[in-house]
Amino acid sequence: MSVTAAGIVFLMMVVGLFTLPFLPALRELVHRRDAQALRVHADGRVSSTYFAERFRQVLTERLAGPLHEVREGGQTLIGRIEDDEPFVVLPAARPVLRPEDDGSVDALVLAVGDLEIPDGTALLREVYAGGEIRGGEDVLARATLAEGHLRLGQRAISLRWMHGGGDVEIGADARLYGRVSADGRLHLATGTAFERLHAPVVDFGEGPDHPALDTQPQRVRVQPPELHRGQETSGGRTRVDGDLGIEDDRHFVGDLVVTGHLRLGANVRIDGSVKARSAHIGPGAEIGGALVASGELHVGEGARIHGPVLAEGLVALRTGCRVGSDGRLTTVRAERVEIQPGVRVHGTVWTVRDGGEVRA
Amino acid sequence: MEHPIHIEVQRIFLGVVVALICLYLVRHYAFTLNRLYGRQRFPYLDVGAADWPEVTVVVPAHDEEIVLPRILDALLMVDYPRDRLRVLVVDDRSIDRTSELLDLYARRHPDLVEAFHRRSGPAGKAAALADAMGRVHTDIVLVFDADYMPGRGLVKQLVSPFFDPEVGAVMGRVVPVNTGHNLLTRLLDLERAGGYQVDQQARMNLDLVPQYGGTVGGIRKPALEAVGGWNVGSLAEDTDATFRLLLGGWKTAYQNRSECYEEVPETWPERMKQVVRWARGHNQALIRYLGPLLRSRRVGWRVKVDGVMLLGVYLLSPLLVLAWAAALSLWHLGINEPGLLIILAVASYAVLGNFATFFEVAAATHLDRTRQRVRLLPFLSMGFLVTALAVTHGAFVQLAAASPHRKGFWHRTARRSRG
Repeated sequence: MSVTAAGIVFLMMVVGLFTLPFLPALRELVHRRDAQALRVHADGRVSSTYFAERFRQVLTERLAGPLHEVREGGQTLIGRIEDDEPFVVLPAARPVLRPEDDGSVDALVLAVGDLEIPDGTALLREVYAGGEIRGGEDVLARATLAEGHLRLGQRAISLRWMHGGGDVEIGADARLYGRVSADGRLHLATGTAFERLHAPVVDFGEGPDHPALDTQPQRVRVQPPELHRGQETSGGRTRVDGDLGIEDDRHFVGDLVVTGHLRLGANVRIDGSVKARSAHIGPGAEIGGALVASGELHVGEGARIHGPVLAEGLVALRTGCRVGSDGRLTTVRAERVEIQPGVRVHGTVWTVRDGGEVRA
Repeated sequence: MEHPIHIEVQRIFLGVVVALICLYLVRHYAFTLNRLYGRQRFPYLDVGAADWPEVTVVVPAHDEEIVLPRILDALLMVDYPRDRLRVLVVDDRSIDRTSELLDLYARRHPDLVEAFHRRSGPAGKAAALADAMGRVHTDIVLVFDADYMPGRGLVKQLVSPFFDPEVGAVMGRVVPVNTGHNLLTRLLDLERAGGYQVDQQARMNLDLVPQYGGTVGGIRKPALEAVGGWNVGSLAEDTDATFRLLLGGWKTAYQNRSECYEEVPETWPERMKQVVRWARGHNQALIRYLGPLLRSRRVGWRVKVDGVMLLGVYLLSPLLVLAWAAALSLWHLGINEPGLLIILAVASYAVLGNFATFFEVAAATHLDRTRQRVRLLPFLSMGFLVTALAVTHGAFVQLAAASPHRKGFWHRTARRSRG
């Protein structure tokens, strides 16, 4: 092969290698298979009751007929919806569910009125009751919607979501994956593990709402310069570089940012929001705004946090803590949440990785 | 062998540029690998229930008759307590029907929409925002450009980071709505994906310097006031605010899932004008804040490194062009040391032409779960080349026309009301 020919071959190879990636590019440019704008999450994160609302929509659109038929006729109806999914509709007069011998029910279960679920039943598809749901022990449910109250016994397992139009009561040692919400009060007994909860009132375990703490402590007002030598106040907040401890019964007004660890003494009150790398909040302390940490948050007995509690690590709430208040719902969000009996949260508890647990 | 001084200077310059390019290469890879395999931080994402604070949404508008009704209609629909939301539209000397349309909305929705007809004072978005702040009575201020389309949940998402008292500014993700218009819009869609999905979120993950972008974002008013308010003389008031807040000890939070549509330029001249504007504003910020950032005792070294690299990002193109010139000059002067030349060529290729940036964009499309658009990646070389030349041109023009007293004016991308 002559030098010229070799040169031409080399040149062709270079051109070929260079143009090779342009072939699929040109194809996409011409055929425009992926040319639409990216879909954005226009409504933001789905609400805590998103799945329950969607299921209600399915009931309205696809199962209104069977529900109406049973409501009028009073007889149990068994059938299949368009995509061949089996369903059973129970009349109000016969609210007790009869599972297979192995305890399972592999059909959508719809009750016109109340519904009673025997111990050990495994509900492999969605369950709906126009009234209350009363479940026994060891019930496994995939997704559950009750227009009235919803009560499950000990060791219940919810796989995806659960919503009650009234109160929701879950027995001890339950496992609640996904979302659990109530329009009324949501109560989880001790030993229950959970991921995402929402209700105007969420009570954990059995215990006093408020442990025996001084309810009217005499607090001493502290000004920003008294907090820490290295503090700096600007833009409505006081920033402390390093760790900070505030003694018992102190009162501070304003937002507080601590780049290190924060230790609030007993009965300390902060009229503002607090951010720290990690924090221990003393018993009976009160924070008027949010409590935020890039690490762990330990909140002592009977403490009250009025705003959101956000941590990128653990949030531990001890007996008698209250987060939010009546009519002022808020959010607890953390990688993991550990809650002692006697804690009340108004709003949402949202764990993002390791779940949460009610533990004594 | 000793070389004359001008050759030594060129050799040193070449070496410095090669080192800089390698640093940016490492940065691109670090961000991309963090997004693919690192711990992801979305600390304010799931705040669904809260006692939401009062907020003012400021919409600066200069001749925006085409898009103004669309953004106002969207803001009327947002999921936020109505008694805690106010929309302040700054009609800055518009000569089209913007004023008329704005008055119409303000009359129909007096509880929500307020019109501010600005007829005097310096021109430009920064000046308009600075004047508007006098009419803002809330601590939280969100800013949307008039061509943006906020979804129902966006205001709550952008407000939620402000529960953290350390946060001074919040930035959401911008998503092109006119992606499919032509090759340029498709390339900009890829660039935006890389910039937000990977760059900004990686900075958030690594607790570095996410950038407040001036729209689809918000500012804590007391924080901004504490660091001097909007800089009216800045061509990039967003970058300027980002760095002043950083130096003042405030954080900027990036919310990757707080997404909002925007229109991207559809012609190359528009795109070049946009890039030149960004570059000049960014370089202004570089000159102003490089020294204070390096001297700051409050800012940690990791954040300093990221901040300096963020400030210098638009300086890289002119430096690269000069380095190419220096490499050629050295070669013609007989300094045939191919080492540096090869390193420069390979590193430039890696940073601007192929692996690092391309890897970043490809990772972004993967994270966005799109399948086919990544095939357009080879065309990005073209986009990068145009950008590099535009930025270089802008930098030299800026250098030639440097004046601390230049008048502000409105630079805006042509509106088409797509989407």
